[in-house]
Amino acid sequence: MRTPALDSTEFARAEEAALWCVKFSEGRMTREAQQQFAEWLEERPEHRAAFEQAAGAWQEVHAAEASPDFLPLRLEALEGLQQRHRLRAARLARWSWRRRTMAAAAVLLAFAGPIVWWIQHPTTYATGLGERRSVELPDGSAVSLDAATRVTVRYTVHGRELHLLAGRAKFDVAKDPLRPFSVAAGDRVVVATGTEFSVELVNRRVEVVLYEGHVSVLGPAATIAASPALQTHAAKRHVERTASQSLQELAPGHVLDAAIAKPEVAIAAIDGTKSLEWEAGQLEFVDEPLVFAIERMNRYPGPRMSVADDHTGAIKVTGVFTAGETRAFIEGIAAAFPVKVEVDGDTEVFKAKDR
Amino acid sequence: MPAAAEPVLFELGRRIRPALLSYFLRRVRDPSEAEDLTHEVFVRLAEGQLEGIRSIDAYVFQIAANLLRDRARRLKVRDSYAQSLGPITDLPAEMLDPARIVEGRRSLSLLVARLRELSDRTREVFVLYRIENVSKRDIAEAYEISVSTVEKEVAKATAYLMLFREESE
Repeated sequence: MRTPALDSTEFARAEEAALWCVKFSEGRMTREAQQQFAEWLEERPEHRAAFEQAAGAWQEVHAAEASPDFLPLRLEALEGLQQRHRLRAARLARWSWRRRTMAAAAVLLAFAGPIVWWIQHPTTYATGLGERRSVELPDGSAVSLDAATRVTVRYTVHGRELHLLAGRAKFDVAKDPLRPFSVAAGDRVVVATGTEFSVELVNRRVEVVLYEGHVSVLGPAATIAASPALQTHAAKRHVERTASQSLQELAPGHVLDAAIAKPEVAIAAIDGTKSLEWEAGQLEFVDEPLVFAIERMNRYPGPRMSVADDHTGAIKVTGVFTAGETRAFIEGIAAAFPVKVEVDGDTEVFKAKDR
Repeated sequence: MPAAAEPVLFELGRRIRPALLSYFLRRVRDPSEAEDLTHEVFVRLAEGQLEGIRSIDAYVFQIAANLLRDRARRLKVRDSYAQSLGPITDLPAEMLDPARIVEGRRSLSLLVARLRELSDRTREVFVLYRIENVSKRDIAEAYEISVSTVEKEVAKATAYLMLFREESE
């Protein structure tokens, strides 16, 4: 990698573009400054591209700020600021020892507070509608969050405790036999050592997909049952085995499906790549009840959807949809099934067609 | 504007305004029109209810896309739809491409290493301004430099990251 020379023309241009980012980030510019910006853009064709690059770099920093890699830099900067404040305070005024301590403490509280909090408390990672993000944890494990997902992470000397509060996330666990990695979702807990798996909360169910390695799923006295209701939830998967124990081992390439507050659990083989399609912005449904399909689609931008009754919700949907293209989804469903869509406030409600 | 929304919008602006302007500049050539549209997004944000919105970024770009649509419609009516409009998508591609995001995360340690190459003052000012949201004036006071020097330090660090980004692509 070539280091850009700080005195090059290239660097000077990048600096000019970045300075416009600073000006814009503060709010509306004066007409005069706007005029100058327009002139600067017209001055050279490269300026437009330079500004675009600068805006991209500007945005990327925001993506970095929650990362543990960034933490030392933040602590150092805050310490630097404190030190400057202390030096200034000591020089500018003949403050009493007591007042100076109080001022330093105030500065410490104001600036170091959020960071101390970050270390001691569980960190929450969340995504909004249509948003996806990937987070690297301090031990090298990685978490990919699907849209509308919320995960808290707490690391202690004894273990790595995660909690999936909503949505779906995939976990790529760094091996550390001394600190088990656990993900709680609903009333189930998935325990792993070094592995790759995903956990999803959908319609009061917990779904665990294991891609690699081994995990154990702890449930409230879980019973593995080959119930027809579970088979219809994912017709492609076939229920493979039954058992009756509260701790369930899962083999790679398998999915575990559990209803919250119910002991039944179904384990089935899956096509390993299918469930990862959400990471690429595609949602695939195979004989999935409409109500589940809607819950998944609702994680992306677009009108909210719901069903008017259980009968409509039970319609089996098959197809590949692009996340966020709610219109195409609604039109596709309305064309294929005897349903109509009515608008109720800001929600599109699927209803059975009148006969 | 409700008083509580102001600091939220200010922080959001500091982070997202440049990207928003760049988004508009790619679609409308005229910089002052792009700036007006950027401003209009914030006017709408100030008018709207921000509570209960799960992804503010997605919401911001949705407003932006709607403004572009309205504009295209207006231009069509005036029969002067000669200006070239880029493809309008609800969200900019970079926000929806997880591969790119993951890739971005992987280069984070490199980004940190890059910032380490800068002088202490440049790095600290940059981190305080961009990440800790300390105001320019507070930074200027603490470091006993002018506000415009603070701006230059932030720009310098940004430019450094920007050229590094270009090369690693």
